[in-house]
Amino acid sequence: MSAVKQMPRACIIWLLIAQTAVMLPHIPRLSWWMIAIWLLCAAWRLAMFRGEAAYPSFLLRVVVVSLGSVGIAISFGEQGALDVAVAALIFAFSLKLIEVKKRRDLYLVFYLAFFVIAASFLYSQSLFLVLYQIFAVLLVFTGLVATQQASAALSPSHAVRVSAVALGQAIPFLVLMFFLFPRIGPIWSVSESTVGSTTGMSDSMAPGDVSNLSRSTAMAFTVDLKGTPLAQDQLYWRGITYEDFDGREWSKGQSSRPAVETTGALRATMQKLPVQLRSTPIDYEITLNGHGAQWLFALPMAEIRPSGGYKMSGIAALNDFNYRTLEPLQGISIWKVRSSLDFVAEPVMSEQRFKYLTALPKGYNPQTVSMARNMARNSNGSHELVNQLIGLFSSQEYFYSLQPARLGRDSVDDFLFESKVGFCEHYASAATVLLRAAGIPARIVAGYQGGERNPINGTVIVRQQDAHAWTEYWVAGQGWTRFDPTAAVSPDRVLRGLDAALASSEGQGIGQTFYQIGFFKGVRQRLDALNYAWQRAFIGFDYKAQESLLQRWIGEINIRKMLILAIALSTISLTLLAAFTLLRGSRKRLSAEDQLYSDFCQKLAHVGLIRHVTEPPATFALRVAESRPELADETHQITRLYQQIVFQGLRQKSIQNQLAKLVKGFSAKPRSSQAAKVLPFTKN
Amino acid sequence: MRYRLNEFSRQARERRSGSRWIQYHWRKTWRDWMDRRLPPAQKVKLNHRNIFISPTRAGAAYLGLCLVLLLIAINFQNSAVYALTFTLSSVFVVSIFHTFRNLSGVTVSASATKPVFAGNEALFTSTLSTYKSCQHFSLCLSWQNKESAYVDVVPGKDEFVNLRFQVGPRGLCKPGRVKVESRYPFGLLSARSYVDVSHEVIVYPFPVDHGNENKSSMNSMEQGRIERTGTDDFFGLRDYQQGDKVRNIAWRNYAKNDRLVVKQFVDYFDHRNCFNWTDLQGNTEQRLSQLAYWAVESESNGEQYAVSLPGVEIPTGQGSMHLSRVLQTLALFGKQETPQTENNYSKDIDRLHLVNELQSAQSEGAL
Repeated sequence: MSAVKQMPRACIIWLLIAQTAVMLPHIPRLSWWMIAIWLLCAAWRLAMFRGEAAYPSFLLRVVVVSLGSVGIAISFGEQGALDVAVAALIFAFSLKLIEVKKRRDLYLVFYLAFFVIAASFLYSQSLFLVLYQIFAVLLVFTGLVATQQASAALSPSHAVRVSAVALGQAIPFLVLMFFLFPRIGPIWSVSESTVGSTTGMSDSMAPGDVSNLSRSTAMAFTVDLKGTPLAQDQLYWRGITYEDFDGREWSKGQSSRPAVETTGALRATMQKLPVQLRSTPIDYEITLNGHGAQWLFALPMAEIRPSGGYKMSGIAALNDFNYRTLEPLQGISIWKVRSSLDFVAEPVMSEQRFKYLTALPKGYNPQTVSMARNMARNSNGSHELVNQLIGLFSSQEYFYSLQPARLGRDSVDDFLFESKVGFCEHYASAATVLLRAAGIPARIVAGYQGGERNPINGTVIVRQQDAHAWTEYWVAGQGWTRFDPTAAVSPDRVLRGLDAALASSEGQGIGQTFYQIGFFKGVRQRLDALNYAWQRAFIGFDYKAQESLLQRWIGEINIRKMLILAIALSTISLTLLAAFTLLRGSRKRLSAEDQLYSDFCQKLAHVGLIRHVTEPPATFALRVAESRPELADETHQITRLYQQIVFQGLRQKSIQNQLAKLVKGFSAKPRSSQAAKVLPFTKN
Repeated sequence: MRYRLNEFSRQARERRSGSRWIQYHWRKTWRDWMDRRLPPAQKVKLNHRNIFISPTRAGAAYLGLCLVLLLIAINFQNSAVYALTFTLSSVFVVSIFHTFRNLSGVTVSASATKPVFAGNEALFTSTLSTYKSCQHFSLCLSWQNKESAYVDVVPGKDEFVNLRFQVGPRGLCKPGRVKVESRYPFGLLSARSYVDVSHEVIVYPFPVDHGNENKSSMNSMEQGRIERTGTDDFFGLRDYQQGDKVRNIAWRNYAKNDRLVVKQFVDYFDHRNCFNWTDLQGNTEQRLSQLAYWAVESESNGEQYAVSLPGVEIPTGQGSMHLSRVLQTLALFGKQETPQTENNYSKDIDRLHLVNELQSAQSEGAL
């Protein structure tokens, strides 16, 4: 076996380091057994490195691979295809570690590492992750350098330095390509099943079944309102409507279907929807963290178009005035939204639709139904009934809690008349059932409410814990009106957010309020602002942003201009790179003492005392002393020290320093009157 | 002549079969082009004129990796994956320069090579140094992807790299161009040069005993020749010549004949060890290998020997210098080539070395 195919020992250590760095961002996503297998592989590799273990047998590898495949199917089968693919990639990445025998195998593992890094970006592109992965890429390249180092004598820092220099020199090209490489739309579409959902929301909602709602502070989306002042109780971000009710569970209904055929449409408009706008629209941008589903969130009545990050395969406007993407949302996407907060939506309704929206399953929640009918009889019109409901929820002993009791078969009866404790879903469900029983078309809307304002950059950050559900009811001629029963029960929830609501009602969430304390809040807001700026500039850089940026630089874009620009810029960078790399080392570097002596000669040259190339230092010193006697002492000292270092080999630091000090302190002032007296050097 | 005939018939054969014809001509074109571009020299400086650079297999895979990452970036509209893709491809571009720089500035020259017997491996030594002030890492020297060796070159120091080479039949063996390659730093690109630093080795005929009888031994007594004057035995008298030792003057004879004569002493030379081409049977190669066998055997027995070839006479002698002179003559007998460098190794060859070689050669031959 020739040396070409063998691998240097040091690169195994780099391989382990690089792999650890690359794996870390994936750890929270992996099952415990995958982490265990990876650690076992790493330990085995280390043992092999120290000569304490042999390569695993073929049989063992087959067993581990088949068990692992089954394990991935069990652990990730429920999730999207992307999760499965990433899990399989990481599993292979872990196992390959103990299979590495030749240099070729090493390359395979390092290339897999790049894929694993890319996979982490499909889940997050935050500034912090990107910064971390720069470091990981550096380590992988260091590993590549280590595989090429034939000599074991080189220090480990050498490989790091080499790869850091290469990465540094790559920056101009990277920037060039990032800005100039044509951004195009996706080549094939990712099917809906590829991505798993990562939010608390789903296509159905059963208030009685949930007894403990998670309170994740993960960011759902960030809104740049562009300075429009909006009150907290105006921030109802609609996303989903539930219209079908089977007595316990609400699910999406007719209105969740697309209103218009929208295949390939990049811009969803309300033109074909029955809606009249009554106020001037406000423009804002939503930077949405991918949730794996297809919902978009916006203030009503909105027009939405994608501005970056989304795969541009189109969005659909739905009959309930929400929007849905045609593909699951992964990673960060940016949306330009135009909303009019005052509107009339669906002023007219067909008989059939009216029936559908007032329908309730027979035999469920009898108490609620009879109470609603009583209230309807005593009230005058829908709005008055709603006011009665507000009165009911705020006057009676209803409480807001995230840990309500489980409810029985007639969940609304149980909630309204027995437990009287619940969160938004319970109240929205109860109110909708009450309204429908009273003969008013009603539905549940799910989305987010409120959000935290970041004083640093003026954005509103909406977190998963801001998820909310409320009710909409329909009045002929006036269309749909929002009714949030939770606001009646716990006004704090709407006005000041979930933490405030919990703190005031039950004293829960002590741990969460820590999150809101001054100093930490300030730091967090600053980091959020930084990350938002990053998301807008980096993640939002798509074909549109590229186009507008280039237009700002070079005016109108055409192929000729682009080619000239690309060729010119890459030529400049290539030339610079060539100068940096190829000229390095072509000139011999002087040793410290030679450099000092030549500095000294330079100083004398300024006053006309030029040392000839072949003139020995001692001769030169005599010549200097003769023409400038006041410099004689210093010149002789410097010359003596220089000679001691060069000819006697006295390379002590003290002598070097002494020479440096003398040369630095040496100064020769020109003498105007006697300048002509400089003696020439005669070669003898 | 015969060689050239063979060459013609080979060319004719290759012309007949198409692909081999193309291959032959491609190789020939390549060789001619290389000879023009990188003519053989004692010392070759590697620079942009003689360095070739191309992606390695790992580099091609790396470009494939970039392409797949680009597809991922496009399909997921993911800026970070775009950035990663562009980083990797930029590093590829940068590494072109680094790989080139790592090889450029290296000077390659050849050291003299110890002669070997036919069919053995010669050890060629290349000397590498740099005329720049930067280091060159993991340079790989090889012959046509066979034997390879790695070396780091630092300024101000010569690095010696030994490469073995399986030599062919006797004569002057030129292993051809040495491939000097650098894949540093990432192994994605290969910068290489094929330098011809006039590496050559004298290949001695493989010593084989074909069972020829040394005829000179049978009629040695009759044909005896005084090979040199010595001190051992009295041989006869001859007239005094100026410069003869006074001690050797036959004073008794002078007294008798009044004529100055000197006693002549000789060392009798063992006549068996005059090896003569004409006494042998078989073709040229068989005769030469027989002569080589006798020479090496005599040398190892500590005997003196002379060799007589058509047109070449090597007088009696002994010692490593003598043996290498004999073997070199045998090696180059009938060949046009002459070694470019003086055979510096003749003084270094010790007898033990040759004997060991012979023994190993014989054991290999027996197998």
